[in-house]
Amino acid sequence: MANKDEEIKKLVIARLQTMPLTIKVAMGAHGSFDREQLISHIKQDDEIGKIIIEKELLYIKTIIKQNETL
Amino acid sequence: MTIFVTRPEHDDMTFYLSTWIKLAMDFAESKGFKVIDFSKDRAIEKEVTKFLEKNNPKFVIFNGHGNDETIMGQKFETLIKSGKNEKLLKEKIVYAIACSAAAKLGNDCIKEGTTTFIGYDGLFSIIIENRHSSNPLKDEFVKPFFEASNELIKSIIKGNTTETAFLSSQRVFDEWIRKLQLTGVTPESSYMLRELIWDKIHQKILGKGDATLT
Repeated sequence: MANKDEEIKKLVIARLQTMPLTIKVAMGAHGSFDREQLISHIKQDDEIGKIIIEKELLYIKTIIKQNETL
Repeated sequence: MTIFVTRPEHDDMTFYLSTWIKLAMDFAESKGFKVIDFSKDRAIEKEVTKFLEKNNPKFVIFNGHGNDETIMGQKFETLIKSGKNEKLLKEKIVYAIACSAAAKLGNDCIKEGTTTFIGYDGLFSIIIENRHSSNPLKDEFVKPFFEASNELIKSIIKGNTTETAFLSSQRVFDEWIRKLQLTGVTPESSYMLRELIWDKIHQKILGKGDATLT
């Protein structure tokens, strides 16, 4: 399980590397984060990092599901 | 008929919320509604409580931060809290663009007599383009989020039921998600998609789906 979580973190970080530096994500009361800050939170394994990973997994699942119905 | 809106403004998110909700407020006024606007330092507990106790707005819109038990105003001051003052929202239609308020507070409000509570049971997130952060209405990357959110308000203003308004908002989310996928995935659109999908999934309607403002 620990290996799977680490692999997921690496995947999400790799995908975040393509995020333009011209944008940031505002996440409720947590504040606004650029690419490097998001990656930092994932590496810290904190609440924000966990939410970022959850969002990425939801995104991937949604896209896969949509492609299956096409 | 009166609509009550809180518009705190003290960081990126609240500044964006506060700016974009004005479009929906202007729409409401154009349809003959009286819009009571408690912005910035008026979006505090003492002022909001006093207004809600003395007046009877049928539709209350909270912009700002929140968590599963709280809706917040200016500089994170608690406005509505589970177990404390949900009764202020009795017999009202409430739309809370406040993170996670629909997770628990929304249901607590329904138990205390709120007619309908529409909100989000997770973080409300948006994409901000840095060069437009001081002028949110020019930020095309955030437009889909607030078109979906404002659609809900406009639909209720038009006299639709709360469920129709909710579904209408969900449809705008879907239209933007589809549009962003079809026009090709640019670096920005990919990140917009993530947040749009997230916000859409977390938007919830609680209480009566057949409530209207009439």
